[in-house]
Parts: sequence; structure tokens; C-alpha cells
Amino acid sequence: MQPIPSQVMRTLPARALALSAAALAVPILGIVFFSESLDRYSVLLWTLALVPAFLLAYYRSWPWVSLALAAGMALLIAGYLVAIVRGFEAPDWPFLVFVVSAYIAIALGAGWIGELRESAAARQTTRQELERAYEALQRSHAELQAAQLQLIQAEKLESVGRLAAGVAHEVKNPLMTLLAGIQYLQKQGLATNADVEGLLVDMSTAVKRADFVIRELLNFSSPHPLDMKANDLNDVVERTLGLVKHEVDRVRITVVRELGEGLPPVTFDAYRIQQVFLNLIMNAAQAMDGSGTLTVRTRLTSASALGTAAGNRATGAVMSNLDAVLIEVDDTGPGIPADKLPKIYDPFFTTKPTGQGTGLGLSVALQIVEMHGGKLSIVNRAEGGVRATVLLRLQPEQDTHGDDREETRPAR
Amino acid sequence: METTAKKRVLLVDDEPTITRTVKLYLEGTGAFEVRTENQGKQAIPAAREFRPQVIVLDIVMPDADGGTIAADIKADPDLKDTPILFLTALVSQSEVGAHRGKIGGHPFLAKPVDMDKLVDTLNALAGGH
Ligand SMILES: Nc1ncnc2c1ncn2[C@@H]1O[C@H](COP(=O)(O)OP(=O)(O)OP(=O)(O)O)[C@@H](O)[C@H]1O
Ligand SMILES: [Mg+2]
Repeated sequence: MQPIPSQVMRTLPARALALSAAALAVPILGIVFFSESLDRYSVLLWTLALVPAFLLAYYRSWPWVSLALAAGMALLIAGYLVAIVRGFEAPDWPFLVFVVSAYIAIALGAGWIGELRESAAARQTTRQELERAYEALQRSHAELQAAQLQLIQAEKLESVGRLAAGVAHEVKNPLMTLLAGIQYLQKQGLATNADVEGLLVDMSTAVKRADFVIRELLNFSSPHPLDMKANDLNDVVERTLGLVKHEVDRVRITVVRELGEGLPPVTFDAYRIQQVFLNLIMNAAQAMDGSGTLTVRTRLTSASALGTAAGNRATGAVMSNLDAVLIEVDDTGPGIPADKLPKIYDPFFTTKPTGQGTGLGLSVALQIVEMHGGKLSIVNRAEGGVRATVLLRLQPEQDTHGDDREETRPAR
Repeated sequence: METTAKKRVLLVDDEPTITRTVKLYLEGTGAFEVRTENQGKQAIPAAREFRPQVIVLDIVMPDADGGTIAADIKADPDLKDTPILFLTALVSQSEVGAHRGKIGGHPFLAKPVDMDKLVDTLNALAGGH
């Protein structure tokens, strides 16, 4: 290992000396040979050419070019001195002093510019770093907030779940007694007049409504596995519209169907998705309160639109692979006030009178759509009213908590 | 046991209000003879004595759970052929391991049960007996 460094030590200075001597020889020879032609005017001309070039190179931060030009300027002075010494030129000391001091001033000026540039650059990077830090901070703040919201939501759901399971048992037993009792009275003809008869009908309706609410709550808090099958989407939409027919016919709501033709089969849990459509259509019908237009639309789209459910229309033309379907429910109701929009998915959030809304409709709908790996969005339409959009992949990925084993299908 | 045409049903549920009203309804139809039992543990002795054509079992009871009682009934040489119908207040089937309308191979109805439906189901279960 030793011979190598010592060898380097010995050979390096010699080579370096030889190289630098060769490098110096060129300009020195140049000076000596060309000094003959170097009079004051050519020095001045060269100076006028070199100085702006030097300043430019310096300003653009070309270190090697600046260095070469500075060396050129030094050679110019040296050449002029040689010319004087060799007697080609009459010594003009004031001129020399002028040129040299101009060079010094330029060098100082360049240094000053450099400093300015450096501090400006430093300030710039500091600002950029600050901005980056600020952005990172904002991002992590937003993430934290989202995480916190999710936690709150999860906590809410979990407590709802525990509560629901307990409540279901405690409530369904009394409901059973009530229903059996009411039906006994009806069956035995103990309703002696029309009032009592009506009363019994109302009572059994009330029991069934209470049962429905409990069931919704249970479904929501401990969802069954999904029963994924290929479905005709428009069929499911039609069936849902059939279910709400009496609700819609009761008032003057016009139902407009804009169902896409020739849609491929879509894989989903038909019962659940029907529940989603039902909730969205009921919300639309209830919002219109008497009269309006309910539009239900289906069409093929691209799953890449999942991220931008609302802005989907714009990208419609350039969609390459149509691997999802989109269902829109539009109403001409009053829309949702901006301050209420963030809350509509919350379990139990409702603006409807007690007995009419449990506030579970949209939370259930959102849960079901998300279990399918789809997207639900509710926005106010520019024309007024609300647009609810559901996006479902034709073939959802199999990582939803659903599970398509036949035998796990719960009976209903 | 005045009329042999009446179908004998043993109704086991820890809630006396349920057994009382359901018994009233079923016997009101004239087609059933109902014996009720509010303690899960008494289900098998009562069945031995009463010889029902169908046993209706609540699933969640404080002293015994319906699933275990059903298994005991199936293991009993005298009772093993008696059909069982579960009544459950838990609709969340994942919790009771239900599928295809059956829990542990027995049919079930979710509370609150429509009485017409209960009558139909009991007739169907007792029919082949
Ligand atoms: N199409 C709509 N137009 C106006 N407001 C709406 C619309 N859809 C939902 N909302 C608002 O969102 C709230 C929550 O809706 P959600 O479906 O979750 O509950 P709900 O309809 O009040 O009760 P439920 O659906 O359980 O009967 C509603 O109370 C209503 O204020
Ligand atoms: Mg609703």
C-alpha cells in the first residue's frame, strides 16, 4: 500500500509544475509577440469588449468564462506594460492608472453584485423553505383534522352499533307483544266500531314503523356481508321507482327517466343498492314538498371519474375505458343550505319533523356505496335543487367488507 | 286435548307478555292448543310432558339460550322429531349465524312477527306430523 502515495507525492508536483509552466508559457509568449501591436487604442478597444463580456458572464454565474475574461484583462494590462518596456509604446502613466483603477472598480463592483445576488438567492431559498414548511404544516393540519373527523365518526358509529344491538332486543320484544295484541283484537272482531278499527290500524302501522327504524339502525351499525351479483341497473332503478310510486303519485311530482340504453351488467348487492336509490329518491321527493320534477339518470362512465363525481361531465368525452356506471337523482327542491351540507351524512342528522325523518337515510346510503367501493356525492345544482350522484364500478374490487359467499346471504 | 284436530304448540319465551298474547291469538284462531313456558330451562321437561307438534323458541333468554335448548331437543330421543321454530329479536343475522332463513338448520321469524305469518309457519311445520 505504501509505494503508491509516495510515488504520487513525488510525481505530482513535478507534473503540476510542468503543466502550469506550459499553461503560463502560452500567454507570456502571446504577450511578448503581440505586445508590438498593443497601443493605447487597442488596449482601450479590448477593454471595451472584455469588460461588458466579463460583467455579463459574472452576472450569469459562468465561473469559468468570468475567470477566462478576467485573465484576459490581466493579460491586456501585462501586454501593455511589456509593450512599454520593449519600447513600442511611449509610457502613458495616467492612462495606465485609469485602466487599472477601472479594472479594480469593476472587480469590486462585480464582488458587490455577487454579494447582492447571493443574499437575494439566500432570501429566496429561505422564503421557499418557509413556504414549503408552511404548506407541509397546512397539509398535516388538514390530515389531522380529517383523521379526527373520521375518529369521531367511527366512535359515533361504534357507539350507535353497541346501542342498536342492545336497543333492538329490548324494543323488539315489547313490539312483539303490541303487534300480537293488536292483531288479536282485530282478528277477534273486538273492534266494535270504525273508530276502534282505525285506531288498531294506526297502532299496527306505528309498531311496524318502529320496527323499521330499529332494523335500519341495526343494518347500519352491523352491516351484513354484501351479496354481489350481476344486475341490470335500470331494472333496479325501475323497481325502486315502483316502490316509491305511491309517495310520488300522492303529490304532483313529475318523474323523468333518462336511463342509458344498452348498459352492461353491474355487480352489486341489489337489495342494498335499491336501499340507496330509495333513500335518495325519497329525499328528493320529500324536498320538493308537493310539486316538482324528479329526474333519474343512468349512464356508462369511467371509474377514474370516481375522484371527481361532480366534475364528471367535463371529462365525459375523453373517457377511455368505460368501467363504471353513474346514477343521478335530480330534484327541483330548495337545495341544501351550505352550513348543513357537511352534516347531511351524519347519523341522525335531519331537518325533518320527528316521525318523518330519522336522519339515517344518507348515512346508510353512504355506507352501502362505500362498501361497494363506489362514490356518493350530494351537491346543490346551479339551477336549484339537489343532485345526488352514485358511481359504481361494473366489477368492484373484492376488498370491500362484503363477501360474496352464497351461504352467508342473510334471509330477509 | 278435547279436539285432536288442534295443533299443540309449546311456546318458550322469557317475556310473559309475549307468551300471553301469542297464546291468546293462536288459541283464538281455534286451530291451536298452546302451552307457554317462561323459563328456558323448563322447555325440555315441558315438552316431554306436553308432547307438542311444534316448539317455538326465543333465542335470547336470561337463563338459557335458544340454540342450546334446540340442540338438547334434537339430542332427546323422544323429542328429536319435533320441529323447532325460532323467534328472534336480533335481526342482525351475522350475530346469530343465520343464513337462508335458518338458524342452526331451524327456521326463524324476526320479532315483531306478523301473527298471520306465524300461523302459516306453524301450520306448515306441524302439517307433516
Ligand atoms: N334532495 C334533498 N333536498 C334538500 N335537502 C336534502 C335532500 N337530501 C337530503 N337533504 C337534507 O339532508 C338531511 C339528511 O338526510 P337523510 O336522508 O340522511 O335523513 P332524513 O331524510 O332526514 O331522514 P330519513 O332518510 O332517515 O327518513 C335531510 O333531513 C335534509 O335536510
Ligand atoms: Mg332521507
